Amino acid sequence: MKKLLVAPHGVPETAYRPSPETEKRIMAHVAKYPTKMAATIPVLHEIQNEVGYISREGAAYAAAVTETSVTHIYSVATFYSMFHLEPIGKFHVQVCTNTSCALNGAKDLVRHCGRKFGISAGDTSTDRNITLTEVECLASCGSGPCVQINRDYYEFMTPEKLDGVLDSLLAGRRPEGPRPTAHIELTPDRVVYKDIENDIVSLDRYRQTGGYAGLKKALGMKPEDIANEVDASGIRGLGGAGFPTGKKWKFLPKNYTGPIYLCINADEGEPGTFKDREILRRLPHRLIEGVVIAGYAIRATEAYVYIRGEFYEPYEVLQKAVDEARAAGLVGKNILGSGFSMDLKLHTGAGAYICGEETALLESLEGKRGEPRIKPPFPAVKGLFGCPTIINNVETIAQVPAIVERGAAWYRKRGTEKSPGTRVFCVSGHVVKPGLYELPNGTPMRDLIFDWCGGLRPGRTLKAVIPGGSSMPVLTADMAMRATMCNESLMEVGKSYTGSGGVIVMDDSTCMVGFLARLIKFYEHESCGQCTPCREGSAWARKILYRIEAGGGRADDIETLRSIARGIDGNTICALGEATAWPMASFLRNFEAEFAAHIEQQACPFKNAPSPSSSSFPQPSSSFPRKRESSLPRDDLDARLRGHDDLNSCRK
Amino acid sequence: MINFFVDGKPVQAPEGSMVIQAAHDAKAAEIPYFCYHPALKPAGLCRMCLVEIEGAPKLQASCTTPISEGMKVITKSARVAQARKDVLEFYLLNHPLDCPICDKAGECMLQDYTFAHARQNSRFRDGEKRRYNYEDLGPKLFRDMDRCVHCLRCVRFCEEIVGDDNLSVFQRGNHTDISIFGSPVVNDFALNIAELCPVGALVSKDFLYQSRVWHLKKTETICTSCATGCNIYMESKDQEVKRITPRINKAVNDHWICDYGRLNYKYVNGDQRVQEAVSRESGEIAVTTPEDLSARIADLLGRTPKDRAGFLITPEATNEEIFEFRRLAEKVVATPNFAYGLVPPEEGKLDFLRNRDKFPNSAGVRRIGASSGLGFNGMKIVEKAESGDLDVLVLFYPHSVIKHPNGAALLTRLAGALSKVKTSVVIDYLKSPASDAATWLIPGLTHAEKNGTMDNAQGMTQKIRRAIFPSPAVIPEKDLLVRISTALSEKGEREKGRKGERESAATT
Repeated sequence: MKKLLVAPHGVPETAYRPSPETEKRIMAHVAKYPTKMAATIPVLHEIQNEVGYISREGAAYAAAVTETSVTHIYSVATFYSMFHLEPIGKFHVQVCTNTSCALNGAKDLVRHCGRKFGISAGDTSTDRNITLTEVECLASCGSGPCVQINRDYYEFMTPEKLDGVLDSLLAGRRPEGPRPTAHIELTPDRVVYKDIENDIVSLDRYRQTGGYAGLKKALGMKPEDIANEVDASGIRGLGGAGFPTGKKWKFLPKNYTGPIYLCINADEGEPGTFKDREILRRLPHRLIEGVVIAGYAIRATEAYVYIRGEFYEPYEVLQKAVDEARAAGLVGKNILGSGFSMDLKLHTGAGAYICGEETALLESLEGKRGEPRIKPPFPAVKGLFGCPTIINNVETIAQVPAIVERGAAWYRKRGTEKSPGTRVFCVSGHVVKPGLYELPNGTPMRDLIFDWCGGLRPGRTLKAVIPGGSSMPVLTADMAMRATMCNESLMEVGKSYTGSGGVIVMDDSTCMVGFLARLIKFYEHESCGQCTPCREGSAWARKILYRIEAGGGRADDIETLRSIARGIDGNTICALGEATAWPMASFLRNFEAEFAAHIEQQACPFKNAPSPSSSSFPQPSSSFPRKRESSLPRDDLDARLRGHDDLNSCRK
Repeated sequence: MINFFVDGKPVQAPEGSMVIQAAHDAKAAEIPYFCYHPALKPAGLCRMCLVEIEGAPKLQASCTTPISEGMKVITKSARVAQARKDVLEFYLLNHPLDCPICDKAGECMLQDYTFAHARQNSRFRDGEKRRYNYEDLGPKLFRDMDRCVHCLRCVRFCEEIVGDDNLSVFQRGNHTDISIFGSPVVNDFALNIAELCPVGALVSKDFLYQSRVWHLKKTETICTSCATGCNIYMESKDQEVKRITPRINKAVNDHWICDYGRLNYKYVNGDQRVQEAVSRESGEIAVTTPEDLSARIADLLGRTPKDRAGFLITPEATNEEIFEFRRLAEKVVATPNFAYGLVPPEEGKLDFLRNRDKFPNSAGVRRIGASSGLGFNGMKIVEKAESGDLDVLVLFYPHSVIKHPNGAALLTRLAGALSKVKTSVVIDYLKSPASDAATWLIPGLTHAEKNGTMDNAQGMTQKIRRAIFPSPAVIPEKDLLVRISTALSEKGEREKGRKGERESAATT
């Protein structure tokens, strides 16, 4: 190990040695994977936990233990947004300003924090106590705005509620107090969220409610029969792409004898989606049961759960549950005496939405930058560590125990013919009661929004709905009222899909240009940068949208935006291209008049007065074309540009 | 073999080929690309090579799509043209358009494709372009990331071919940065990166601001820096070599050359060249001409007993020179004292490209000359010279002795031996201790200035071609050898004739 502790330029570093406890954990991470490089991200997390950032000495140490190079460590560390290369404050205040949180006033929170601490977003206070940053979706959209301080989530935040929290930060203490999370509606017929109200986090409680019965039954069946049963249930992947789960399992090569991996995608980060976090932290054993059944069905030798790095608490809960299950013989060698062995390991991400893309997830799990792979070969043929791999979403896998225990016919009683079963709809935005609603597929959207979620806030009318996470095409109010929550209906009314089940509801106070601008900023931030259309197109579109919203729109902008969307759509390596292009194209398709109005009025009709000084947002550059059609004085326009993407300013 | 169609034309290619390679090999279509490179693994990053494939709903990257039986590839549809236009527009958003000061201009793929496929105007109205700092990547390369098209050929080359990860990708998305972390890019093949870069983002410091590429005359020739015999272009301007670039030859060097070979051209126009013919008889230094000296050599050799004359050449010579050298020493002078090297050159590959043998034509010597004389055992001649057994010693290219592992010591010994010989003759293009010690010194030609053939380590005979014209005062070594041989044999004929006359006179 010593020989690698040499810094760039050949200058010997003062060697970093972690504390014995940290070192023990680091060694456990390194031993966990088939390759040492795969431990890169967990090791960097450990070093950052101890040192506060990825120091040069720390990077050299990480390179030594993972048997890579310092260059590799920095290449990886700079890819993931959770790694800091410079020291940050004792308390890292991260305000989610993505769409759902922004609809409920996240920008106010940023401004409020900024005033309170006397710093702007992205800065650290001079006493190194506090660092304030705006972050992308924290998967807490139904309980937004959400603020993460170090490891803890603080949800349903308002400036007033935040005050108490901030005061204790200023005093140097970790804030105490209850931290409510997303509302979960106890709908009558739940499969995934069954018994969630009964606190079934522990193994005993889970067993009391009939837990692990599905696993017992499954281990008595032939693996092919399980895959057939799941196929017959008609369940489709619930992470966004909607690929039939049983079919996916059957893609594995026949008569293959080497290792087979099962990966569970818990990198929940699609704006508007927050269902998996609750499964991880409140129903860990249902997930574990599903993983073992699925693993048995595909004859997996090892399973990994890839949990996004921000989910500290869910990670701990799930890790505890896995340990419990392992002790009870439910995971590991010779599960329940059946002769089937499969280990279950947890892996953390580090802040990259793209790692929710299945091949990027595999790259990340192998300790590399989360850049999607070229397909074919598909992961079922050549996936993790070059072996056949199946990747499923958390919610999909959590459905499996019930399907196996009760049978496909039982499952198919719910939902529609083509989209059977239930799924969790994550409702966020401008509804009275945002939260998680497990309902059958095909539930009318009108029922979901107006009956279950209590409709819109008083005096407001519905304007638009994104039905399946921010990547899916937006629907107008009229389309939404005609639609039911299944792919067939959404496709028919508005060329949209159920995607990840994240329903973002917007009322008539929402500026669609501002909303789209914020959304595209997210996709710009999360683009991995590998392929051209997504890397360049998202940034360009964001710039144009900011300009239109700030009152600098030009007559040809709508056409330009359309052509950017066309240039990205279908032309990229992974589906993130579509995720950027579809919202753009659909906003322009369904709300063109609003874009035209912005351009015509050279201002955002939803903002009475710009509030330039209080925004801390990083400012696009001020050089506009000289022949600007705008009659606004230059300074005025720049000031407005600085006040963009405040989706809430109309209600002030 | 798989049969498929490109724009309706039937094409055959081996199974497993990618569409772009098969289409290009069959010359069925020209598909633009940045990240694709035949010698690197497919990456599918640039999205420039998108084509339509019948039955596929989306356009497919032709560099990552394997061919299949009966596949119908369309490269000339409006949809493909539109996709190319869109991708190029994305590239040009942040491109600085600094072609007038960019070394790559003229051989830049972005320039060519923009001309061929892009829209004619810019729609970018949104402020400043993305800017990076200039970065020094070490002694060989310089990075201007603003021009980058993120094809990652550079990183992939280092990773796949050289096995070095100093150059890597940092950050992500729109801020992706191709750079180093501390350790500079110093591997022995780094300058291939400048070539691989389809734009001017990574440029060779050696060629920086040296010439516009369209002013360069490209000569197809062979690298003479080692026995591999990499195929190169020697690019010159105004009778001066400006740079060396690889020429594709899958059997020899594929697409690459090493940095040593690439930079080994400066001596051609350098100050170490032997400029004029010099005679240093009895302490008097006189400038003369090669013609004069060659006549005097022939005269001298004619008067010297054949076992007191020695000849030495090195595998620096072309096959033609070796042939003439052998004729002179073995046939015309008929001395046993001739050799093709002081000591045998090393053998074997150093890495995927370079050879341990630093002489370009050892194989040619083995083919043409090794059966004669002392072969590579020239030390025997040196020993004879040292013990005063030689009156004349003719040396070709003594400077190249330095290429042997203990070359400096050998060269000193050789120079010392020359002083023990009555008349020593050195024919060389570079100065060396041996040329300083020579009685007569005749300038030679570098490999950039002459035509000929050489055999590489694999035994392939390859041509070297004249890239620049030499000084008219210099006689090529081969011609010099021919002159001496001719003069000597004419003299021999004359003497034979005279002797015959005498004999016939005696009988009558």
